[in-house]
Amino acid sequence: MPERTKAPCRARCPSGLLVTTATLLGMCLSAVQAQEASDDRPIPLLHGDVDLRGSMDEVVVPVIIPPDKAFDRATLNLSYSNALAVLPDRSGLDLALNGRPLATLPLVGAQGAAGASIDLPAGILQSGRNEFRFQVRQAHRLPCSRERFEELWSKLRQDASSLTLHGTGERKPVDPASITAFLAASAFDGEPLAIAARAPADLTTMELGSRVAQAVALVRGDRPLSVDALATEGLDWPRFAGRNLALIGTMEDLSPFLEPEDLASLVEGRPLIRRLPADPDHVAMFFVGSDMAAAKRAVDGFAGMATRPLEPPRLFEIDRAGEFKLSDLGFRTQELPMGVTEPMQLQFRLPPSFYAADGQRMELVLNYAYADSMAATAALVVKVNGISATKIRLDDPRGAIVDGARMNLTLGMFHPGINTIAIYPMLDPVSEAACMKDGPVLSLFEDGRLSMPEFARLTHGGDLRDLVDDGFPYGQEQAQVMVSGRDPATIGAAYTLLGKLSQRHGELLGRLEFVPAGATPRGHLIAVGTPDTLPPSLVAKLGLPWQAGEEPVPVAQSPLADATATPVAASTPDPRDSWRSRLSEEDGRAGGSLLDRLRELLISGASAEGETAGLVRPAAPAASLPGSGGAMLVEVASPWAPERIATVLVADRAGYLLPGIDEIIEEPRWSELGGDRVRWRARDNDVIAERLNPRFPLQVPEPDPVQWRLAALTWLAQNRLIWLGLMVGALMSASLVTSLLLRMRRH
Amino acid sequence: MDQATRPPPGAGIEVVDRRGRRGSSLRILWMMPWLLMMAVLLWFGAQDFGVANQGVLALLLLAVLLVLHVTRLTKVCRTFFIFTAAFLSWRYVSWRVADTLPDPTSWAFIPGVLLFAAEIYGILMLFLGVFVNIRPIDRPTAPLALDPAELPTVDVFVPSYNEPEDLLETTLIAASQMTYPRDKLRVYLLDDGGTAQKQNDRDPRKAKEAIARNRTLQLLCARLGCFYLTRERNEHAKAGNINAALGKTDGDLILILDADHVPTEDFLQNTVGHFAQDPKLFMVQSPHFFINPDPLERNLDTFGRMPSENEMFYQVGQRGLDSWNASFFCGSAAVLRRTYLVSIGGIQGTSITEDAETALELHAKGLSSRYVAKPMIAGLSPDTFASFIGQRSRWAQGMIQILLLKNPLWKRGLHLSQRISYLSSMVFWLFPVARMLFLITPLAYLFFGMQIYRASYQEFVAYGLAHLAASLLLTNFMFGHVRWPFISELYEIAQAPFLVRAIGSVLLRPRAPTFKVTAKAERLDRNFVSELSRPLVLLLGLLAIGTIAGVARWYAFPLERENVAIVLGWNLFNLLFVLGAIGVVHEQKQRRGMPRVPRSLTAAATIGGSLVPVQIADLSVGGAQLKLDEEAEIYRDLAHGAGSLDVELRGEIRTIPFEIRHAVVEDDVLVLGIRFDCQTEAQRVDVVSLCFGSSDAWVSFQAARQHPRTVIGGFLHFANLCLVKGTLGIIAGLRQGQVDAVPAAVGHAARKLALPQDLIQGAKSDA
Repeated sequence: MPERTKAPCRARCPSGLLVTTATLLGMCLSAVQAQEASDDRPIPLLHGDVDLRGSMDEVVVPVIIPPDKAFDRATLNLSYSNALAVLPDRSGLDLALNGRPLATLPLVGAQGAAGASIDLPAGILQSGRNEFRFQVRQAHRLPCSRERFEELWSKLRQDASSLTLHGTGERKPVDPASITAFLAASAFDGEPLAIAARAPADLTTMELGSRVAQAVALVRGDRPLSVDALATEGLDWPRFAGRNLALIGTMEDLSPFLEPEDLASLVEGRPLIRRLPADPDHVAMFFVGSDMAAAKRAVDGFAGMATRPLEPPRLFEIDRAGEFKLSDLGFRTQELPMGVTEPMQLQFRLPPSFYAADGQRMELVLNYAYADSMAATAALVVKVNGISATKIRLDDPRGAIVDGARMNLTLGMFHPGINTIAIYPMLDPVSEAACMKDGPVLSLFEDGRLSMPEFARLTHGGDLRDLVDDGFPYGQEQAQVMVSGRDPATIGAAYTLLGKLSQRHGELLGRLEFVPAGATPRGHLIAVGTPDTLPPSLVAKLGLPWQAGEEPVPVAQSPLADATATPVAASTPDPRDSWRSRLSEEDGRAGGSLLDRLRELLISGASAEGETAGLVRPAAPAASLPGSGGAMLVEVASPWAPERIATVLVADRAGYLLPGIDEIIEEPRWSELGGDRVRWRARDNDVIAERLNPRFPLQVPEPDPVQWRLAALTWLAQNRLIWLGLMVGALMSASLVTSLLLRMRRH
Repeated sequence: MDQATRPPPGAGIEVVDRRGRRGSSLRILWMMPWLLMMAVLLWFGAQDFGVANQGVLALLLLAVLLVLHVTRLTKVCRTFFIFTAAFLSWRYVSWRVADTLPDPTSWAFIPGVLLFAAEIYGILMLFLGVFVNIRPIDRPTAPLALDPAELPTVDVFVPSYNEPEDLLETTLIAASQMTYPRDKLRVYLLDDGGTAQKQNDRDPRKAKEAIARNRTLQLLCARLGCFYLTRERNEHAKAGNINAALGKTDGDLILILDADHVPTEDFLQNTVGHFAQDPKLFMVQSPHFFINPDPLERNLDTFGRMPSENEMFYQVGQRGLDSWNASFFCGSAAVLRRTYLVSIGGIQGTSITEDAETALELHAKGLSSRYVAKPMIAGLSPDTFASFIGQRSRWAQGMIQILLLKNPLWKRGLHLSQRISYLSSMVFWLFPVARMLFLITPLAYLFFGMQIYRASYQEFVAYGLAHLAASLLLTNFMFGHVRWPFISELYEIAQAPFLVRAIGSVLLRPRAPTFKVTAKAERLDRNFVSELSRPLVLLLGLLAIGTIAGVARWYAFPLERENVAIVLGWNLFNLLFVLGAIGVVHEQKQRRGMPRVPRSLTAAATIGGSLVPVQIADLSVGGAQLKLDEEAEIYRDLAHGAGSLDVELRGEIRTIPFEIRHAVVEDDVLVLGIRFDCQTEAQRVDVVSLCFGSSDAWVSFQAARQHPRTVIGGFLHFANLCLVKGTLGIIAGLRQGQVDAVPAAVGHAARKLALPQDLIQGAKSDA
């Protein structure tokens, strides 16, 4: 999984080109499999098919070559196809590697999937991060129109695209200095990390294991990392093959895995990294000492080296009312040729305390120019976090330079963390001749501006968006971790979750404290377990959707799962179940309150509701059908401490915890999560985000009348029934008192 | 000195109740919680909670309004209903102010702000109307003192300028016949048409006419037992006329009647008693009730079927004003206490609406007024659209004069509620400006694409339509039985192009307008399209072109269709209004100077020597329509003979001779058209009593047409009126244009008042 986001790519791209990165689309996963170079086995280049759309589009595919690979040349094999509508004479696919052009490939859709094999010049590919850039230019066979631009696509196909490294087969040693670069390699995408200890459920071990998991996740950027927790008892080296391994414990605990010469270096406090005896592509990392304190020092040393492989550009944070230029937000003037269909994006961050509703508006003022080649249907469609907000018509047949096109974007569409305003060009040419013109037809200037009004500052919990954006609040504030199950599956799921949170936070979560299942934590809480092991007061708040005694369904397990997790019984799924689930969802939607349905009716027209993200669906009643079992990540108010969050990863059985969290952290799903819970259903293997409970405040408003007013109004706007009641109550009271007063008139 | 006239303050003395002021302070303290509650409600209602929330709130509140309206629970929760509807309008205006104004740097800002101002005006009027009419009062009749000696003396003033003798005779007879001790009632004809100045006019013809008028009316008064008063010079028009009479008379109370306002017999019985109840009472006003259709009613053929235009003011508005002690003098049909009137120097003359101005001055002295809602005079509306416009121009100019020269907001001595009430009555007359803006501003978008109203379709629905729906429901609730939906708008749009210039002139020169007498009892011999139709036709053409432009914009700019649909719909609505206004200026013939009014009265008639029961179906001072339901064929033979009508008047059977002018059989009922053939003065008195003596007849007549319509039913009725009458008006106009015929049959006033310049500057004082 690529570890970077779109922004850095954009920063490097030539002005005027739309860039779609693999990360954002969530389809491009460069997976350079570790292999023996000597046998010239191809390395898969893509994790999934990648689409390029419109008259011009671009994607950057990062590939990270591990430092131990020795090679002198490489071959890129690319399989791709394109739409029949693409006119070959005026279309092509340009390739570049690390900024150097490689080739231009023809787009001939009529022949089906095309292939190309390109020998990469010596020295152009290097250890560490490399970037392939694929850029298409596409013209339509028929007279151009906006609809036809949308018919233009090319697809980079995963199945036969690969990178082959040619070399001597020699491996460089992996040492502590290069271990993070090694772990970051694309070759390990999709593989779990194993963390083994003699007593994995021990609190100290879990704490160290979580730090290792976070460190490894961190060096992998945004690519998800699944972590298996293993008990070393009864295992040997061959059972560890196929993944990188971390061993945590005392020398005594791990003596079966240590060689005598290892003991000497461990005693000297040096970290130990060794290739797996049964699998030289993977390594074992020993965090071992004479006692657990020494092991902790080793873990700290490793964690201290862990950083993101590529820091994403720091997004501008709008933390106050004011007027901001688009250039402040990192936006640069863009010039679009006819036929571009991908959006221009403004991204910025809002503080965790951002608390505003639809009643307030941000004003976006765009400055732009467009050519006289536009039809009356040309427009810019503005979407906020994926929701249509407004549009600007480009319907002056003479073209125009527009300074100060104002639009109001309701603040309810924004949320704490990363927000995106996407401006989709709907460039509709007025004639065929208009398409033949060279040069840009639309320019969006960076001197536009954005005015943010004073907004309420009141940090809230109960929204997964805060969690997925930067791991809030676990990176910022003291928190406890409660892993209630003693089984390795539960512990592995906790590691996986913590690893993901550290990735989003950008550094290790340094203020975590592991507590036993019976504790009453006073801070924020991350809890992982099953309903029968988690504290009942916490379980009572979760609104679990499962019925007791459901039949488990088989889940894809890692090879070691059967040895480490709760056994899962096989069952034959009834094909009607998926229909039942779908119908129950529909019923749930239709069965909402009248107000909700009216609201939906209004919102469907307005498309301006800020609280619903793309994946978030209306709250459905707890599914009670067979097959609805699975795992759920949910944020609720802590039952033990006011104004504290409890983030709970729970499953109806322990065996669902790890596959559940693995599915949930998949990109782009993770980045789009909203609501207060996300549920993975084992039988359907699908993920649903939803909201059952409103968000809850984590603090009191600032002692400022303006803040009190804003916070109160926002709260009312978000609690419609109470607001309506107040409105009607105020009306009734005022009219009643008025009526009494009127009766007292003497004239 | 009787109870009704004590204690008379001297002229110029401030009559302010200090105890009342202390009471006001206490009341303000007591009202603090209410003020706080209202402040919270208004603040709360002004906050933006997002379009989705607003949509839900609007649906909820509209549903509540509808349920209350349909179930008639409004009787027990009137205030809540009004508050709820007004609250939606408040939400709208708050949103409109905050979010919808165009960019100040764009050209659209100018029309956008003008439209906004018009809307603000409309909503201001809505709120002022809500305030005034939130709980109108019904005054019970105040009984007269049992001992006639304790009753105050009453002088009846009938100011006249150029009204014909027969019209004055009817009024004077009716005034003389009012039930009141003879020795305490004096009727004065205040003739300004026969002044010394007029008799010595440089134009010999005019001088001769004035002399003849003077002599004739003196004889008339002598014959009727009334007093004829005139003066040297025609100064200060009607106000000057009345003030001149004040110095020559001494009655405790003064009843002022316009020359065409014929009082019922019980007028003084229903009004004078109030003066004994309230020593600070300076006036009791009663409604003006018109027995003929105004031009809109006649030209649209709605008279008798639809509540008359002035009923909204006289049946609801004045009652509302009365509830705030702010019902004001309407120039006629009011009894005033002489001492208070004299204390301010008589009828005021700063403005050309001397009546309202006089009431304002008296209210400012801490005095009170009352309003009796029972119709007790029968008057005449202007007959031509031109006269109608002339009358309304005077009212508009006069009220704006008061607003500018004696602004009630700053006038010392008034209570806040009185200030607001007067403000409501005066600001209302700015409606022509707002109406014209509503008509024209959509064209800025349709023609030039200017975005004068920044809102999304969803916002417009959630805020704008909710406000419109609530306003319709509210006005229908408050005024539905006296004003059908959309009829106010039709009246206002028909007047707007003419009044807007009149208002402009008075804004520029507040003291320039002068009093003009409204022509009454005109006759129109045939149908024609008024010359005043030109601005309306121009407007119609402009709106029609705007509609075409809107359709073109619909096709040319597909992405604007949501906006185009809204504005085009608005423009079509305007088009409908203007079409209806053109129907209004299509004058329908008017043959009778004194109209007949429907009546259902049982009487006996002697026809061919036989006494037969008859039903009086309609009635005027000239004649009546009788229905005989027995042996129709027999009496048909007597169709052209004479007879007499036996009716009970003042407790005795009176006989009135008549001639049968025509007879027809309709559904086995013989219908006779008769003309009264009065031979004696007593018979003439009997005819007047029969026609105008009973206020119950007017109450019944009014009640028969006061039935509400639903908003949708009202719209269908209105649309039908506009389409049918407007189309007929256009066709008639086209034909008239082909013939190029001047409507020679138009009465004199119509010809004079048709000149817009005349409206703007005001005629030189007729005095």
